[in-house]
Amino acid sequence: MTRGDPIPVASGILLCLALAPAAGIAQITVSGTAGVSLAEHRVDIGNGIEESRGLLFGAGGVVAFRSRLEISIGVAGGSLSTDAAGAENRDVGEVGIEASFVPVRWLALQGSARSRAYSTAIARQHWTTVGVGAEVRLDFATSPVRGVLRGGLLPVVAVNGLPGPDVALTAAAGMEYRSGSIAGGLFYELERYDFPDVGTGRRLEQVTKLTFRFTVRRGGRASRP
Amino acid sequence: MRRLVLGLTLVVAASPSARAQTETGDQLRQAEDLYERLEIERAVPLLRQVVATSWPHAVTQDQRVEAYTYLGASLALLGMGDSAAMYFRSAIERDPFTDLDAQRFTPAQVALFRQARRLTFAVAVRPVAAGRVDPRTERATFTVVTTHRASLRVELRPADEKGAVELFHDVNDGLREVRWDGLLPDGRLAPPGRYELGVVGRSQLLARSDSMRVYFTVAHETPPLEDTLPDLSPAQLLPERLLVAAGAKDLIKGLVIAAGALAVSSVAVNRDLGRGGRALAIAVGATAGIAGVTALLNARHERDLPANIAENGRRRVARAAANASIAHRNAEKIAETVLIIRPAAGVGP
Repeated sequence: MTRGDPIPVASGILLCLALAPAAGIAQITVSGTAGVSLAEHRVDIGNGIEESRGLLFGAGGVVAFRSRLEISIGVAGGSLSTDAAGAENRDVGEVGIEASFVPVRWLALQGSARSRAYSTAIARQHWTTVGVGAEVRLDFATSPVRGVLRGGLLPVVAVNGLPGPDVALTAAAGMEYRSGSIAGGLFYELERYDFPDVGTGRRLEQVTKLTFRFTVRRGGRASRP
Repeated sequence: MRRLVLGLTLVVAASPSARAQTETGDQLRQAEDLYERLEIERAVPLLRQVVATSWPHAVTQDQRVEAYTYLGASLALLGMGDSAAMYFRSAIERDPFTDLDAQRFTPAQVALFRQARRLTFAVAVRPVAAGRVDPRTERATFTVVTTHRASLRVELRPADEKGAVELFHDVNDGLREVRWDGLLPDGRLAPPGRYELGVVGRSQLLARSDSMRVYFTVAHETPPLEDTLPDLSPAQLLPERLLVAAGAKDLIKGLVIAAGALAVSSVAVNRDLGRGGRALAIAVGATAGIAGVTALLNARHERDLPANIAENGRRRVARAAANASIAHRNAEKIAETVLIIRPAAGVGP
């Protein structure tokens, strides 16, 4: 993503996903996902907390093979606004890929890679992260609802101009409701980065999001009640 | 060169049977050369030696038939018709496929040979040749013979089954090629296994019958088939009845998710950065809690779940449809099966 308005881009991708014929090959499930997040970004570089908020729009696709392996790609973008004195509004854009192995129905082991860019009128900052984690999936027996708890570490965080963080983790919790091939979910997501002090004070950075995600699935059905 | 000679010497020395057959072959070639030069009187003793019981060397069936045939032909040229016919009959009895080439032998010889055929009754089938037969476009061919006009039945049967395929049943005189489409009487493709090809004939000139059997194997060459989908496991089906206990479990799950959201917003966040989006976590936690309580209330009374029953039915139908599709594709592949036919050991009357 660039400094341009990311909403049309995300909308275009969403439209493409919506119009694209889903491949319904036996044992293969293809899903298209669109989401909107209320994001809250906080950073403290030693001069107090700078907070910015905004809406991020995302879209993605997931291919699941035999309910055991899931490959997902996604893009997201939006703007974060701030009222902090001396701070600038920023555009955010990211693209990511994630692979999940599902050894049992309620657990997925995940690996991911993501590239994110923050852009202001005068600068752009690139983030590249690689993460590993696990997701616990709790299916309700009485209704087509699934609860999700997710946690992970980011052993690789490369940010231009910054050293690698001491602490880098992600966590999430959420609920998803399914009706037929359509699902809607609400998720709370957290990213935390604690960078070491390199003489100018510690840089602490955190992103929290409340995401509403809408999914359309085609092909084989998931093996959950 | 010396090694080659030594090797050949060893081979010949190690194979007395082959050497004996060579002796017989040499004798036959010598006799045939004499016959071709019309030195019949010199050829006949050589041929008689070969068929005599006192001949010390091994004689193959083909060599013996060849000797009898040339003896018959030689004696026919010498005007000894009865003896010629007798030797021709000996050749025909041993190999009913024996024939005289009208281009190489005189009409008198051929006439005597035909007479011998009329006086001798035998049926035979050539050993099955190895081959590859696509039943959609090709046929396996078997060659049978009767020495003269006879009622002939040619049957093919799996060695371990009773069902027989009648390939031919009619009057026959001489050589005949019988074709087989690779199918059994019920229309099935012949399964892999050992088969018997039997010919039975009854002479229409003599009160005699004869039969012969040969064996061959059939193997299938089929493209790889797809596996059908396994039965749906309980984990792949929705619960079809709502149980009270399930509502309590779902409440617990909802509370776990709610607690998880709050835990993330309180434990995992960096407290130095303030609230950490706690309101967002509370929104998710409240949703999870409401979902859990709703599940509990919804399951107060046990009852069937028509939607789940319908969904399970849809999944079963989808699986059945997928399996039907796989079965259809497999059937198309099986229809492409090619029969690999190979001769097998065994021959009998």
